[in-house]
Parts: sequence; C-alpha cells; structure tokens
Amino acid sequence: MSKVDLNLSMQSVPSFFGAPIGDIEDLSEKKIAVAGLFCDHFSQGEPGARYAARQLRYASLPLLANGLKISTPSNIIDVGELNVFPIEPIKTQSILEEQSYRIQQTGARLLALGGDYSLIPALVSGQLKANPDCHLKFIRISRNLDAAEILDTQKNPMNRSSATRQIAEFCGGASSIAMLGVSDLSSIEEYEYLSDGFVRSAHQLSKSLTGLSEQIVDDLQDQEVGVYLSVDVDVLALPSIRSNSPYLGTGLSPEQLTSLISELGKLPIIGADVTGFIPDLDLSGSAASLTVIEIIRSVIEAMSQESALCH
Amino acid sequence: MSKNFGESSTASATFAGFPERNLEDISQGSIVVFGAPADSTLPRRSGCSKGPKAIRQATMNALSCYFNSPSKSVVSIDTGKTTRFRSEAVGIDLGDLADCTEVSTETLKQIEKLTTGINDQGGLPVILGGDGRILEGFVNGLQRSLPELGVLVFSNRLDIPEANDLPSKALSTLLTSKPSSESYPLLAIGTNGIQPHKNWKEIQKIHGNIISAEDIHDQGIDAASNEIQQFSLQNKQILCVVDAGVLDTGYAAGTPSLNVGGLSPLQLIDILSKTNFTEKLVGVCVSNVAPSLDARGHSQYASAEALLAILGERLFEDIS
Repeated sequence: MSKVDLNLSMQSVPSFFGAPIGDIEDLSEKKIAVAGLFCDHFSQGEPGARYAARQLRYASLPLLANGLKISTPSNIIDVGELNVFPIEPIKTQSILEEQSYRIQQTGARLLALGGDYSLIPALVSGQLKANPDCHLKFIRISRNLDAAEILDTQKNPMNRSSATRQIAEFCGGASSIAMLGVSDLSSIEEYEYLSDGFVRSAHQLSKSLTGLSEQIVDDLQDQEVGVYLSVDVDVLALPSIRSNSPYLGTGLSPEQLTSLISELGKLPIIGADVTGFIPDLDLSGSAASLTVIEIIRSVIEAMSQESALCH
Repeated sequence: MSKNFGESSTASATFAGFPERNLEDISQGSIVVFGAPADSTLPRRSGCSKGPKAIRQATMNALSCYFNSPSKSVVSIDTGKTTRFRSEAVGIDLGDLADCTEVSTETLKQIEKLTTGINDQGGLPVILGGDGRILEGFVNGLQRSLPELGVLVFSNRLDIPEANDLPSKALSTLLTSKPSSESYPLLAIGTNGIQPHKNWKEIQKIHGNIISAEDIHDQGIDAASNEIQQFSLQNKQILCVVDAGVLDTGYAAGTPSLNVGGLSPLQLIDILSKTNFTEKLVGVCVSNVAPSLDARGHSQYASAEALLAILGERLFEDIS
C-alpha cells in the first residue's frame, strides 16, 4: 500500500459533553449514566422532544472544540438511547422500568435527557425497585403540576397529565412530591391533590432560594432518603426556548434555574432527567440547545456533589 | 370536539371548544367567532392565511389548565384566587369564510355583511385574521348599526396596510362618526417605528389618543391601562383590535411586518388583564398572525392569550 500523507482533522462521534460512549458493563458506583430518550409519542403537547438528545449531543461538540470553559465531567458515560417502542406504551413502560433498574443496580445513577414527562414514571419505578429501602423524594421543576386523575392505565399507561400522580402513588403519596417553578395558574383539583406535598411557583422561587432544600426534606431528616430530580425546560421564561407547553411569558430565567438546581445539589440525588426541550433543528436551534446544555451541566454538578443533607 | 386538549391535540380545534354552528344558530349575547384567512400581499410577508386555525389551536392550549380540571377551575398559587371557565358561556364558531384567500373589495364586503348579520342577531362578533386589512370590513359592518363606535387598537401602526389594489388607510378614516369635543372614538396602543405624520394629526383631529410602545417601556403598563379606563368611561360601545404586529419581533416573529422595540407578550396581556371593558364590548378583531413565520409558536399563543383576556368575564368567573 502506498504511503499517503494526509493532514486531516477528525471530529469525534458526538456524545453528551464528549463523554466516553459505553454500555451497562462500563458503569459503576459514582458514575452518571447519561441516556437519551427518543420518545415523545405519548406527549399531549407539541411533538419534537424526541430529537432533543441527538441535538444536545451535536451541540456539545462546538463547546469542546471552541475551548469554552467547559470540560467533560469525568464521571459521566454516554450509554446511548434507552430502548423504547413508540407505538406500544405498555411495552415501553416495562422496558424503561427495567433499564432504569439495571442501571441503578450497577451503582451508577441515571440521567435521562430528551423525550417528555410521560416516560418518567417508568424510570422512577425502576429506581424504586432497585432501592426498596430508600424513601424516595421526587422533585419536579416544571410549569405544570401534571397531577390529573389517573384514568384508564391499561388503555393509556403513559400519560403526561397524570404522570406526577402516578409517581406519587409509587412513592407513597403526595407528601413525597415537591413541585418547583409551577405556573401561577393550576387546576384546582391537581393543586388540592398535592396539598400534602411541597409546591412553589416560579414567582415565589424568584424571590429567594435560601433554605429550600432543607424545607423539602424537613420531615425526613432521620430516614434514608434518595432524591429523584426531574427538570422540564417548560419552566423557562425565555422566548427563545421551544418546549412542549404553551408559552405564557412567565417562569424562571436560565440563571435562576441553574441556581435552583445548584441549591438542590445539597440533596442526595440518585437519578435525574431533563425533558420537554424541542430543538429547532436549525442554526438558531443551537443557541437554545446551548442554554439547555448549561442546565444539564448544572444537573450533573448537582448529582456529583456530596450530599450535605440527609443520609 | 373534546374540550380536553390532551385527548385531541391533533384534531382541528374550534375557538375555546365552542360548537361549530351556522349563522341561524346565533342567540342574543352569544360570542360568535369566525375566521377570515386572507393572506398578506407584497411587500408584506405572507402566512396570515393560517392565522385563524393557529389562533383557535393556541386558545385551546392556553385553556388547557382549565380543561384539565374536572370543575374547569384553576387556582393562582401566588394570590390564592380561584377562577372558573364558564362552560355554560354561549358561544359558537362559524368556521372560516370561504374564498377569502386575499384581501379584496369583495372580501371586505363579505366580512362587512357577516359582521352586520351577527350584530343584528345580538351576537358579539369575533374575527380571527387574516391580514390586518380585514379590519376595514369588520368596522364597516359594526358601524351600520353602531355609529357611536369607540375603537381600541393594539397595533404598532396607525393605519391598515395596503393589499392588492387597495391603498393603506389611516385608522381614523375608518370611523364615520363626526368628531366632537366630547367624543373619544379612537385609542391606539403600542405604536412604534416611523409613522406618517398625517396619521398622527388625523387621530388628534378626531380627538383620539396614542400611547406608544416607548411610553409603555418608559412609564410601565399603567400608562396604557389608565388611558384605557378613561376611554372605557367615554364610550358605550367598544371594538377591541389586536394586531399581532404590536408585539416585538424578538418575542413573536409571526407577523407580516417586523417590529423592533414593540411590546412583549407579557406587557400586552398584563395591560388587558388590568382593564375591564367586557360589558361594553361589541366586537373583537385579532389579525396579522402568520404562524409559519414563528417556528416557536409564540405569536399565536400571545394573540390567543390576549383574546381570552379581552373576553374576560364573558368566559371566566372569580369563585374565590
């Protein structure tokens, strides 16, 4: 073979923050398994969130290439997309629960990116199965309560509008739920259902975050607690971010959201997700993706922190 | 159709889940919605023909928190105020005017005739545009039986745009009533950018008033809401017009022309929420929504929210 003098610059295969690409056997304690969710088929809002994981991987590349003050967190592994069956909700629910359980059993923690909130109860169920002795506190940052009455679970097992209520039933009731950044106007029945839980509006959070983590786990100081953090980008007030909820012009700024996530880093986070982002899939979409990447980075930092509260 | 947005996101929506009916079904006091999907013509950007459908869908999305509640009630977490959507509110959706693809003399006549018909039967006409030029037909239709009309316009401009062979017209020229020192027939809110001097003078001549976008940015939304209260006191019959072009392009780009320095969606909705002229309302016109020019969908959401705020007590009741 003749010798060819090539001076090529190769770009790596896109992964979240340029993290190593691995599989379940590469996971271990202290690792964060970052996985994509290519599924928005059970969402009631606008579709498109299924493309978020792909877009976020691509948007990670220029951040690294341009040498911005962002480095690959050493504890994350990109495990690809979780398996889903887009037209078979029961099968999807079952396989998501199983994958979440298996990841958790390796000692690693799952960070699911993309997709929509209807998938999250299955992931939380898998976490609970892997940690049966742990009291799970579910913290959701979103504009919507999504605590509508659960109707026909056989016919429609994955339903965004009742996802919070599903999770509350897994975790032992509404008192295990903390809803942060909620829109000022919420369905009265859903609000009353969560009366035992912890609910704060975006307006209330924008005033002060002091002592928030302590208040959330106030009743659980002597128990073994694990926290699942679910972030929906619909909580953002920014008009440049497209999420699958209607834009109302109210909510948190990206800075307020990352500060809130950082505050929650005091808690022992055993799993997390960032959902609801619909990338525009064009040049202008990259600016929005970079904002969401910053939010995800703050989630990874929060997950990597040593818990200052609870066991 | 189902009022639960969650179950019917792909279905074609009617305005606020109102039943689709005909002109014969109008009853006294009912809200009667119809679309005029007339597109804009050059040099303005096209896309308004999809406006009526997008506004209807956006209204359903904006009402989803009510429709997700079995009692159609929502609570404000910040104030504790509880509001119910009046499911019993009488309203119908007539659908869109057929053969209304562009603004023409014929189209304006159709709009005028339909508006007069609705008004004569005691309905409250609500037109979903369509290019802003449709306002001419709508105002003419209302003025046939309501000569003392007061027009409250949220727009960045002081005229209605040219379309095909129809030249642009100053807002003040739409009104047929003779100006008097006691009348206050026109209030324009959100004016922005370069406007012909003649249009300013004409509004002053008929004893109208202008609150510019800059006034609102400088003095806050009270500058507008206080003036609307004054306007409301001096008029018995109010037509409210929301031209989506009043919104800043950075927030809502889905309009035929661009507006840098316009109102934010929150400013527009806050102004409307702070004022109450529902009892005097005789017509509502929402125009210049071009959804294909706004991939984020904010233009139609903001317009839908504004429309719901205008209809206020007709659709919602405080049950705190």
